[in-house]
Order: sequence, then structure tokens, then C-alpha cells
Amino acid sequence: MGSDISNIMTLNKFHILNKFLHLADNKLQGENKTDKFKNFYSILKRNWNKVFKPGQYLTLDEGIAAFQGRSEFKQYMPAKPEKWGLKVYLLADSNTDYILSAKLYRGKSEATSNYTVKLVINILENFMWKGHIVFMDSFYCCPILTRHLYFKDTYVTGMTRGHRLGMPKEILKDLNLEKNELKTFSVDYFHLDAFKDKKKLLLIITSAYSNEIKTSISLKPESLVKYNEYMNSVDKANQKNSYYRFPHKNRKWWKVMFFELLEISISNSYIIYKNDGNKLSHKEYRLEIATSLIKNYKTKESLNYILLDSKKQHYIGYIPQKLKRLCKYCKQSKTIWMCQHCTKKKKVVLLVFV
Amino acid sequence: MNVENRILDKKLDILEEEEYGLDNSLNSEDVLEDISVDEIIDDDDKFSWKETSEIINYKNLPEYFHPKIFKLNSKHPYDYFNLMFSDEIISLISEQTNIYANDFIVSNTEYLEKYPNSRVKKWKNVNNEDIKALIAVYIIMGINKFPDITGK
Repeated sequence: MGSDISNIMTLNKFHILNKFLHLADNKLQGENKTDKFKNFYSILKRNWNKVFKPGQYLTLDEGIAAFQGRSEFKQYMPAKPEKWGLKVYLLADSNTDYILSAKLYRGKSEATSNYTVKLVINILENFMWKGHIVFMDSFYCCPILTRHLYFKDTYVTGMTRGHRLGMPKEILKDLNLEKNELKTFSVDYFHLDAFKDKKKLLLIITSAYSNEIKTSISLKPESLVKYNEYMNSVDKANQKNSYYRFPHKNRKWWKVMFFELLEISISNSYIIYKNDGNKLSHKEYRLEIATSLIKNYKTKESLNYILLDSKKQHYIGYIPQKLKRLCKYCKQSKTIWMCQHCTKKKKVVLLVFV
Repeated sequence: MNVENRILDKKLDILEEEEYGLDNSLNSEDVLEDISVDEIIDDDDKFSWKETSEIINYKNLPEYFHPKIFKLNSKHPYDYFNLMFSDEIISLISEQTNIYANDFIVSNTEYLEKYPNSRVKKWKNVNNEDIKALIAVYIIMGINKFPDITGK
């Protein structure tokens, strides 16, 4: 298939299409920079949520789309393998890794006081009142948010930090835990698990887990086991997206977002495809999509030219599966080389390098 | 193809009515400034933490439910892709691409005079099939990995 890219369109045509690819009218843009892909994204997000209703467990986490151009949205994260990029908040269904919504972090100007509380309320806007349990890490989770979500029939299991608003700071100061010791503190609406394995961990919980410390591999309370089980679904989704990503760099930040959303849509559709009992692998699935996308495309300029030319000239290539066949000319030695166009007309021409 | 699409649209409408009135809410602006957190934060003194050893009874907690996934019952991968990248989206892209390209050509006449052999001069307006082919090229280039200078 790789050599067939040149049969789809010429290099000139690809460059010119790639240059002018656009998602919104520049003249109608307001002050908001995200208008560049707003309409496109709102249709896409509606399509994602039309065909998939999430189960009870949701995961909220962030991902990075690698980007090295110039933009105020660009972030530097030295600990990650891709150091420069756009930060995207993702909400996923924990059981299937299906991504339900994506939100771009728009730089410092957005991050006012109580930013994360606003952010989570905004992302979960369409998923309130349904009885979901949301898994979050310590960047988002705090007592104030938990109480707010509790009154909207949404529940939380999340790691948290000691200095957050509403945390019992005085109690935590004097708290000395031994290894594998669990202490729980409660308020009217939820409770806090403090557990020590190697480090002190704080978990906010609004759902009934047992207090017992279970033995799986190491000793853990049930809340921590659940957290570890479901927290990584956004990372898994990101990993799936990274395998067959369009490999080129881009200077325009919204094009990076376009590719990110394209990747998410493909892997989301693959989840629905698999659920119907189909068995193609991810790679084959993508190839099938690509071949049916170019079905109705008229390749006048490129394809016809090559077909006409092939009558005069031979194109060298491997025999399928590298099976060896006799050379047409010397009729003594075997070869793995043949002309690719001649096979279609059943006139096999084989070549040998002496 | 068209007949199938119509059937699909009907099926989708049914799923949409069941729950999640998504159509209006998802199109709303995602601006954080509109959310007021003041009410939520004002009562933060009211937390009275106690140490307990009992499990709290959450009577309101709903029972576990599984995800509901739409069944298309098709064998062609493109049908599934079309659920996400619908024709609506592809016609949006081709429309906006044409607008941008024509604007670019009008506003950069000096540049085009300076470089008469520029690719931009060969521009013809695109249709949906062109955009589909472009996306196909993007997908194939992702699958087909060639070695580069970094050795990755």
C-alpha cells in the first residue's frame, strides 16, 4: 500500500491541499482563538456521544499533543518524553477507553483562581445527574469539588493533596502512619482515606468501599485498588492513538489539534467496530478505511499516466510473500524479483541480478 | 450507499432521544469565566472532619451500569468511520478550504507575481472527494513508517 500513495495523488497536489486545509472562516473569527476549530469540534463531539453512552465509571486526565511551533498554548513539561506540546484534558469511559470529550488548555490567561474546580464542572457538564463515578488525580480532586458534585448526583474517587481548600490540615499535620496502616476521616457527604505504603496517600471517596486491607500483590485498601484499576484509561487511549499517527511536524497549533481529533475519532470508531464482533486488527482497520475513502476519487492526473506508461516500461518489485520463481530469460536460476504491473495481465517478467 | 445512510440516520435519531439531550448543550461555548464558583467556595468552613472506622452508608448511590454502545452490524470499517467523520464534517472542511484558498490568492497577488511557478497558481476548488483522499493519505502515512535520521 505504501508505494500506492503516489497513485492516489501527486506530490504537488498533496502539498497544495495540505497547505490550504482549513476548518473555519478567518473573516468571521472573534477574539477567541479556539474558533479555528470550534464548529468542527462541536459536530465531532456530538457524533462521538450519539453512538456511545458511557458506563458508570469515568476517568478524567490530561494528554499531550506534541507541538513545537509558536503559540501561547504551548506547554513545557520536562518530565515527559514529548517535552513541548499542547495540553488537552480528556474525559474517557473507564471500561472501554472511549473518549467522550476533549478540551484544550489555553495558557496562563485561563488559569485564574480555583481553576481546576471550574474546569471539572465544565467538562462534566453533560454528564451530571446520571450517577457516574469519576476517577481523578490530585491535580483536580478536592473536598469543595467533591461536595458540589455530590449534590448533582455525581461521585468521586480521587487522589488529593493535603493543602487543598477544605482539607483537615491540623489533623494531617499530626498524622503518623505506620506501613500498611489505613485511617479514614469522614464529613457528612464523603470520606478521606489516608494510607501509607512507601508514601502517604490521600484519597477522597464518595462511594462505598470496604475498609479492609486486601492482599493482591501488595497490601492495599479497596479504594486504592479501584483507583489504580480505572485511572489509567486515558493513558491507554493516548497510547493507542500514538501507534499510527500522521508523523509530520506542523507549525500551526490548530492543525495539531485537527490530527489529535482525527486520531481520537478513528480509535473511537474502532471500539464500536470491535464491539460488533468484527476481527480486523487496528492496522488493517485503518488500511480499509483509507482504501474506501479513495474509492470515488478520480485520479486522472496520476493513475492514468502510470497505467499508460507501464505498457512501455517495467516496474521492479518483490514477488508477493517472496516466493521464488524461475527467471524468464535464463530459465535456470530462481529469483524474488518481478515486474508489478505485468502480473495484472498475467504476463510475468522476472529479473535476475547476476 | 445513500439508502443505507438514511436508515442509519433514523437509527441514530432513536438513540439520541433516549437520554442525554446533547444537541444544544454541546454546542455551547466552553468558556470557564461564566461558571461562578463563589457559592461553592464560601461555605468551606463547614467541613467538620471526624475519624471513623465505619463505612458510610451512601443510600443514594446508584447501581452499577454498563456502557451502551450503538450496534451498526456492518462489516465495512468505513461505515464506522463515517459515524464519527460524517459527510457533514467533510463538506465543512472542503467549504472552508475553498474559502481560505481563494482569500489567500486574492490577498497575495504580489507574492504570486514574484514567484510565477508557485504551486498556488495551480489551485482549483476542491470537493468532498478531494478531502477524503487527503485524509486517506494522512492515514496511510501513519501506517507506513520509514526510518529517519534519528533512528526511531
